[in-house]
Amino acid sequence: MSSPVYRFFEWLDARLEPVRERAPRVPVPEPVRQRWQQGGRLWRRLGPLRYLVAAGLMALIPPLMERGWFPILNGTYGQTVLFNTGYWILLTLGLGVVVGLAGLLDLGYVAFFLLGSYTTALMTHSGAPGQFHFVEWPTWAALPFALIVAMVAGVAIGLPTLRLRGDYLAIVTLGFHEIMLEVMNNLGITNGPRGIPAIPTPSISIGSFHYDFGLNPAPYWWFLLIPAIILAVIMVQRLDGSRVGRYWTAIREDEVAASAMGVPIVKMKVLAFVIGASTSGIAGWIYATNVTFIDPTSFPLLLSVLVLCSVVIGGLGSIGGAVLGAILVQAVPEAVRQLSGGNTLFGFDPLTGRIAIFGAVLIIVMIYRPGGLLAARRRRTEMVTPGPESGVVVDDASATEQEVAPADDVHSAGGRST
Amino acid sequence: MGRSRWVVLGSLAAALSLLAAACGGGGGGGNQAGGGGQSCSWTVATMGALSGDYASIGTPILQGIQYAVDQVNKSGDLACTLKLDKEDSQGNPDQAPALAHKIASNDNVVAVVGPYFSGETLASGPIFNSAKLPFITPSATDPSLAQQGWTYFFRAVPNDAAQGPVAAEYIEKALKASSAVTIDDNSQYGKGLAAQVAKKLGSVNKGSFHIDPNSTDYSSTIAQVKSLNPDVVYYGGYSPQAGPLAKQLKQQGVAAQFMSDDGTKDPTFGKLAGPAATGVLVTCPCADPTKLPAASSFVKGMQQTYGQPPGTYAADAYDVVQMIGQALKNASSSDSGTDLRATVEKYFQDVNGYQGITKTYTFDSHGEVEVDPLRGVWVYKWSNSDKNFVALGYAGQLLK
Amino acid sequence: MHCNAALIAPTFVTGLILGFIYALIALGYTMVYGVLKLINFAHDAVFATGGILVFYAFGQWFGIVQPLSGVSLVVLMAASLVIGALASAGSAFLLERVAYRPLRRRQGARLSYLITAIGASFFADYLYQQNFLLGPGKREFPNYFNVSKAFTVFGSVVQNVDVLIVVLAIACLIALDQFITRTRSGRAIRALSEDQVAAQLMGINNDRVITTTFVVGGLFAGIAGVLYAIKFGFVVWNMGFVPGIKAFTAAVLGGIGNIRGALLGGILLGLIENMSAVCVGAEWKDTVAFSVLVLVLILRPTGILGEGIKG
Repeated sequence: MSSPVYRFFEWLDARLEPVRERAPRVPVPEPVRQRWQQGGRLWRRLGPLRYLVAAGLMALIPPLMERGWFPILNGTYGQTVLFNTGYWILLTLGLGVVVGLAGLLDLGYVAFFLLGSYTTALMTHSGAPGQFHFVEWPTWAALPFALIVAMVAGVAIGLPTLRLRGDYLAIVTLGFHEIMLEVMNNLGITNGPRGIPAIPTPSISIGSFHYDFGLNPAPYWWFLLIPAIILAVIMVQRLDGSRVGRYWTAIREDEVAASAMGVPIVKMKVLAFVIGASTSGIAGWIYATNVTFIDPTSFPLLLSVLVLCSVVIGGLGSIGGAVLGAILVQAVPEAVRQLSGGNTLFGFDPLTGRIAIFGAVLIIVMIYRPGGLLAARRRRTEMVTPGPESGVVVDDASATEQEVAPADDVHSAGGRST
Repeated sequence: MGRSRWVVLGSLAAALSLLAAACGGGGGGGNQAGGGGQSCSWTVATMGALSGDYASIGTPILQGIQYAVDQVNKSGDLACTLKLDKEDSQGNPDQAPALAHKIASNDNVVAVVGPYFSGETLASGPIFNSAKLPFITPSATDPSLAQQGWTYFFRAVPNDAAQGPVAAEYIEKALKASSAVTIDDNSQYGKGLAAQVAKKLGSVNKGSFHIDPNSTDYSSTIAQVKSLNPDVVYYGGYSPQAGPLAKQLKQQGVAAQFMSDDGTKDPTFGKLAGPAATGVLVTCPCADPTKLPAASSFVKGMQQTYGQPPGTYAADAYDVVQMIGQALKNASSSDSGTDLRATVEKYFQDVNGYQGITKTYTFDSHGEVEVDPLRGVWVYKWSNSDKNFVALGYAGQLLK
Repeated sequence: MHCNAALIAPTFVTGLILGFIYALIALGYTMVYGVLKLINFAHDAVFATGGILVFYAFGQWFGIVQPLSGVSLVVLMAASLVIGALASAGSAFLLERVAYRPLRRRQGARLSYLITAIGASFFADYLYQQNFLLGPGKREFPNYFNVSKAFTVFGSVVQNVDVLIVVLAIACLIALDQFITRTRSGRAIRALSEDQVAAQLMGINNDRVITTTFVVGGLFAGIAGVLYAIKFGFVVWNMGFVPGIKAFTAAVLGGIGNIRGALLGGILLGLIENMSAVCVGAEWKDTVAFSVLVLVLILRPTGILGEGIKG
């Protein structure tokens, strides 16, 4: 390396030094943010009623879109974007449990989503004549199975990868997604790359009353997504506040200590995967029955990374963060795309450029706001004060790698003891 | 009493009042008004890969459509101006439904030219069909599209079930091959087409192989092909893979004639295949407008507007728009977009022998254009001087 | 399974050559992991940058499209390798400064590093995909190096560029070996990989050594990038993604942090890939590659040759 170049970068470092020092080591909790997250007295006093209020507000959105209250996203198009954001919220909540609460980096999360959708397709009267089906049951009957298959897959991927440290777990889960894609693409029973069209939409027939959900996204939003989201939120909040949540926190912070304290590491990690997979199984069913056509190209690896983006950018381990992340990743780029009228913005193509922007935002968020934009307060503190690495191999017999904390930087002002 | 309490109360109040307004108020929003007044307009929508990985396939089609819309407006035959609404799906089936809803709920839209790919057609077809919006695809060739029971679906080009067997016949009769091998990229389009070819070839086909489109090294597949020493290699897939595949086949010393499909038919093939592009053949269910006297003004006009000759399927897309124009000839300016959807659909159902620049159009009960595959499927050869594929003729001519 | 015995030899040869490319890229992963215990997900973008910059330099700016020969070819090849290596090294340097060092200063949690790495990788890849850079399609690489047949062995045609790849890869490995074992910086890297605190106490400037590690890894990835672009004849925005994952698998297979392991892993993976493609079909390539990875991680996480930056 040539010395002048190096000296230039040293100079750059020195310029940046004051900026970095200004960034707080431990973020001071702002009173308003704190209040908002706890919800304020009225919100808390509402108790279970607040979910109804939330549901009511959410249910208002489609009719408002019909009347053009939302800029750009209006009419049926806006409702479709709303539907997309809805199942994306489910995915983000699920991955939020895995990454945010349990601290396990899962790069292949959409594989569960894919399994949920394919289970739905293969258990209903779908596809061309001659399409293989396990059974041909009404659409509703496929819902519990989509859930179960996803959860079983969660166990299947969780068990063997338990002992792997964070980095390896990420690659293995990514591999799982790729393997699932290849399997769906190569097997004859899933109709390979041609995909499965004509998945029946859910319908309700009671006596003479018959209602088919059809292709319009609004009924899906009202009767499927809103209940699913509310239920998922309740589940995540309950888990977070329960012993399981505390186990997850312990594992996240210091796995060795947690194991020494008697935390059942194996069970808790698998549980995290299973809970995470459950929301995406349901989302898979909802997606498949609305879009009525699925094929392997509908679930590319990119989706897994995008869900991760919305979890991280929105806020790890927080509900509001999940919603914000989903909106930022799904709804905002759509709106931007419509605004730009299909033209590029500053040279960035709206559809693919958003991913470049998310990548950059990930870096920025990790440096300046490690818990995400709307991080849970506890999480934010954690991400800055590290313990020894998480994801240590617990099984001592095979542990040969060294666990070394990142170098304590003697140059940093106010050295901290690790 | 915290600020947040008022925030919650305030939003509750706002929500209730909005609810009241929503129930009380009426009228529609977000839809364009059409018809009436001095300048009225109807919209033709198109949806396909206008950007992203497949933009090189979608852009020529869009150019053909845009040019056709301008021509229809110039001719002044219609009571209202035709507008073009472009929706970019990047060829992805999961982008398709949102855009399809957007198009279908736009009351000004009378027809859709597209989608360009089969996957996105499968995803958006149900929406168009239930909105009674005719959608005519100029390029999606998966045979199953016509089997979905969509009354509003029409296809302006022969499908893979026509192209595949013709390619096989060409291999057997014109190339006089005694052994052939098919390779495909394991995608919706490539796999289906290669399977059609293999089926028709029967025992002449010595093996069907796949490549992984995400990887760049095809050496293992090539080793298998080489060991069979075929006369012809037929590849079903797109040019980004076909180019390097042809190149590597030549590098490994496979002397077979390389042949591919309409997904390969674009100039990028030559760039990626390098010297291996010489002599490569492709089949396409698209006519070469430069070889058709009826299309000469189209070719000239496209050359003038875009600075290059029309790309694959541009001429067929032009025909589709012209037919839509024909359907709207007798419409009056007070007709709304939604009324005219039925008119357009009826036109396409009933049309018998419309003389387009590429072929004569009659559609069967499934929406497929009735055309003899031997006339509808053309064979092209790579020309190093033109740096593109040049038509040899339609299959019927070459198989005499 | 229908393994054709006659095909084993030719696929062996092609798999071997591919393996050397993986080995060169794997060096970057292995070195960064050895020192920081971190998988540098963004290394795939580092690899791509080398090939892409040479594409711009000689393809777009200087517009060299004809094959060259003789002295001018040698000069141009040397220039492209140097430019590619420096470009990748520069991007690795930038990556370390912009993405990882701030996290080190803030003592971020392990998860942060991983997420930052993913963010950096996707930022770079999709930046390259924009129309003002490469665009979404494959871009033809300037063909100043006429790829032609060198000789045939075991029924497989070996190109002249393949010979160059093998020669350069071995040369690079020897060079890196010497660097690690003989030079001061190399010793510092080894020290840091063993015990960061002790190294600091011994007076080693951690920051500088870490930067060196990234840069050296980047140099080799850049060379690999240029060779890859010449061999296959194109560059594309996501050209690093699949080789990156394969190279990482190779590094793990051979022993993460171990330089000889990177070579062994690369060759092994190339062979396994190609042979499995012949036996089960190329459409299962990814499944095979990832299954190998999972098996190695579960059964022998330290890889075949074990961990640690030994020469």
